[in-house]
Amino acid sequence: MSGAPSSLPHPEVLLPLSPPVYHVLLALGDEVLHGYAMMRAFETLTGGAEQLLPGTLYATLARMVETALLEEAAPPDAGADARRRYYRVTPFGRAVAVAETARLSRLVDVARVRRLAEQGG
Amino acid sequence: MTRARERTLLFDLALRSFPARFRRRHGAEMREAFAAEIARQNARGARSLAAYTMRAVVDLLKQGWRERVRRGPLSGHGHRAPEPRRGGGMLQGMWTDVRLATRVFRRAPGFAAAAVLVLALGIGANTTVFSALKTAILAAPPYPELDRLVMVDVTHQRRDEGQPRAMYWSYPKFQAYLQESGRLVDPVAGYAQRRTTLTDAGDPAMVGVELASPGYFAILGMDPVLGRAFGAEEGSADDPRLVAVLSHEMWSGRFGADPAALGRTVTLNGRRLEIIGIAPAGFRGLSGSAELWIPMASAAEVFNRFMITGAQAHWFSAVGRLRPDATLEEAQAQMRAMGARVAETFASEDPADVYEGDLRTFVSARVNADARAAVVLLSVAAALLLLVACANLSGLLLARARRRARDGAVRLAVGASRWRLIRASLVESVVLAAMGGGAGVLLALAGTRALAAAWPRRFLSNTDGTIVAMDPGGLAVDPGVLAFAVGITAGTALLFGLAPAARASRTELSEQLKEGTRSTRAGRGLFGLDARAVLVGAQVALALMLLVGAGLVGGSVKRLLDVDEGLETGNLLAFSYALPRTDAWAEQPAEFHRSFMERVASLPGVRGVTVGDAPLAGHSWITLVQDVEGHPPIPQGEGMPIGVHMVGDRHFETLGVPVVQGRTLDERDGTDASPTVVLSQFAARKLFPGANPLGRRIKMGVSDDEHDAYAEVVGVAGDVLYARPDEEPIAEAYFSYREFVDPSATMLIRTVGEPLGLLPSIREELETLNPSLALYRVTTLDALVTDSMGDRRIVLALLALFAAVTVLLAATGTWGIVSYAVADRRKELGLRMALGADGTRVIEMILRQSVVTAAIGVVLGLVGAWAGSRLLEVFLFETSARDPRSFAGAAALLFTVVLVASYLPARRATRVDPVEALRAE
Repeated sequence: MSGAPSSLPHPEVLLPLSPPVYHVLLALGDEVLHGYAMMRAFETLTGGAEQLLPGTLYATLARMVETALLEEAAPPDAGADARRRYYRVTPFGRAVAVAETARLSRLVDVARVRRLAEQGG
Repeated sequence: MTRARERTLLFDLALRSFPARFRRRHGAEMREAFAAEIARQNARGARSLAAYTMRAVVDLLKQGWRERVRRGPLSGHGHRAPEPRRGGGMLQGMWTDVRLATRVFRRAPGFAAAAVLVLALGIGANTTVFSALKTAILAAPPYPELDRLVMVDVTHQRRDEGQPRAMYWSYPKFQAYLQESGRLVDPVAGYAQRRTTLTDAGDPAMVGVELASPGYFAILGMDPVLGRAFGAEEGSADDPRLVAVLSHEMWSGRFGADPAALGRTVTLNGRRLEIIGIAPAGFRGLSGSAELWIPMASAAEVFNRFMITGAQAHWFSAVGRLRPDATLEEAQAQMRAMGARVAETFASEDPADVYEGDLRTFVSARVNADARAAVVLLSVAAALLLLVACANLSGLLLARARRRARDGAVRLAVGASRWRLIRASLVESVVLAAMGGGAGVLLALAGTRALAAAWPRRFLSNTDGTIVAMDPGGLAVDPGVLAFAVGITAGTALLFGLAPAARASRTELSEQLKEGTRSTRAGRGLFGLDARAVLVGAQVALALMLLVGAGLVGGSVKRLLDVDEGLETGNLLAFSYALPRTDAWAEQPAEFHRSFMERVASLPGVRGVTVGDAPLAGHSWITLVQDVEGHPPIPQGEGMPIGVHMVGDRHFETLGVPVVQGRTLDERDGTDASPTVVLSQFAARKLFPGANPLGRRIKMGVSDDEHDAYAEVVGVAGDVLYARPDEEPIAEAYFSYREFVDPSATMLIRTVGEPLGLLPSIREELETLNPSLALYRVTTLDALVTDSMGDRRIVLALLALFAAVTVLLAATGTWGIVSYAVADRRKELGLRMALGADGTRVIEMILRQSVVTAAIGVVLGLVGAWAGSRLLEVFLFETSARDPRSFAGAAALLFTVVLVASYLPARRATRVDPVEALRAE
């Protein structure tokens, strides 16, 4: 990574995140994954309710690397496919994900007050 | 398996929407992920597979496009390496060209601004005017089977004189017509529009009412959305039903769109009417201003008994549907015969009157000839403007292309591909066209709004005011028209932007790069290209046509403004009111008028009050002079038309009209004594040429029988214009308001300050005197003066605007073209001057070319204006369409403009140091 932490903006500056960016951060978590694994992981984590499509995913990955939210990582084990690129969330990316989650949960709190969170309400 | 390959192929194709660099980096992995996912979806079933493929491909296309237009990393974190420029993607190159083009325009803002402005004016003006054209003329009224909808008329003609003229029906005649068997027009319904007071369900208001006979709604295909229309039981005047159908707007506004409004009542002109139906939203009747409908048969109850009983009370129109088996010609022939039979039943007192019948198609009846002429004229003007704009734009682009031909050659020489050069020019033109088009759309939106606001009310209905012809609210930018205007101008931009580039890319490099070869080549005239002379000539000719038109209409408006209305128009307020027939005051309207005038006169800021017709607003009553004592008898119906006015005691004083002979009217008049009258000067001169009219007695058809008695002339007052100034003046007679029992009146108030500022206190006075009365037609005399020439003013304003713009375009166009031509010949001119030619000679030489071009343009323009001036005739007032002064003036002006526009660059050319000019090459 070329960017020293001091040159990065405050995480809040990037908020709100576009849904694909947030979804990638969620799909990766603390793991090192390639693109297709992220697609699968995300679908499993959301119980099949959400999906990442290849076009969006790879375009988003490229952009997230440019903005230092992700970095490319070495394959986690020797048997990994050499043609694949593996990614990991940077500390900055993690800070952004935490900030976005806090923002969303504040909104969900408001929705509860407004009685918009009930099932079938 | 094959299907799987097809899917992968589809995916691969869609993947190409991403930039090559991105594909190289991620393509293989994406393809693999897609393949894996496809296999998984396949296990879930065909539908799931198809849906996924579709979503994935659309997503690819979308993201690929975004990736291409994305201009770089978000905000500088991370770093993207500059892309290698190896042919790149086609789109990527285009994007670069667009950026280049905008950079070029930033460096030559004058050129870009001029081109965008020219495009915007051409597109904006044309879209606005042609959208109006479409609304006013081409838009079909919303009624089904229009071709079978006809207006049914009775016609009147003086035996052996003129053409039969369509006139209104009277109720008894219409009933007789309905009794005729075998009518080819069936059903048929009568309708007429009135204004009267509505006094419950909210504030009292003057509302538009249509009186309609059963069948009216069905004929127009406008059946009520709630409740019912008038049925047969509402058709009989012997047993009139007091019912009403409300417009959707009134139902929403006054009843909150409550369905329970059916069965409730409204009070109209003091009569309670039961609401039986609600008309469809937006329908305001054929008159275009109805807020509710009442059965025609109830006219006697709500308005006036005479409307039902008077065989000669002609007051309504009739509309009907041709039977499916009938042709218009058959039905017309039948109607002539039926009209004659009906007339026989109600024989006219005058044997010279011939009554028949006729049919007009609804579509032709709704045309307003003047409005149509105005719109056609403006469309022609806008089209001329568009042509000038296109010519101007081509001039700009050609001149620019010539100046840049050398740049192009250099770029070719250092290895740019020809296609690349053409593409750069093309993209430049497209960017120009897009900017101009955008500005043009904005201009068209604003222009349409302005036109809708300024459109004269007289133009909104057909010529006799019975059918609404145009809804100014319906005036909107028409997408088709807009597309056409944008297409024409953008096409010009592309054509003239591209053609020179294509040619430049074909020329031999060496020739272009050889110092100055091209610019010294002689023998093609000053303008180098014939196209340049053509462009200048065309612009001059077209601009001249518009200028002549604007000059002619301008002269007419000036003459109209100079017309003397015969009174002081400043600070004069006018409004009308009508006492409902059940009002406590209705029995003694004169007493009410007097009390109202007294109260208003006592208000601060009021200098005088009277009742009477408002000047320029048209007559409310015209009759014929029947007899002049001591003159030979006048045959029936052949007397002089005379306007009848009921006026207050301080009428002439309040309006500032001089009483030139005798006295004004006062308390002595209009009581028990025998009738007295004040004549206008025009009337006195016509009736008593060269004699003293005072003390003479005349009789005129003033309907109440007791007043058909002779009235003694007690005074003569100055002439006042009551009709529009371009109509024939007629004689006027003034009676005291006490002479008639008229529940309606127009009040005229001379104020100290702003007239409309007085309205609140007038309404307060009215509130104490009669709270159920509504004021309507509130206006000032100054506004009426302006209105009376409204149609001409809008025509003039637009013509003048178009003419000014085209003259400006012609001037800048000429200037630009001559400038470039002179710049091209710098070396030659420098050489001439170095060899001893003086500056005057050089200027002369350049001007000679311009004079020839301008002269040809002026001659062509004059011919065009001569031919086109017929279009203008209806807008002219005391001006000939071939008025030589307008033609000569416009020609001289344009000629001067061209000379000045040529002189400036020519003079600059002579200021160049000959040595410098030679070295520059």
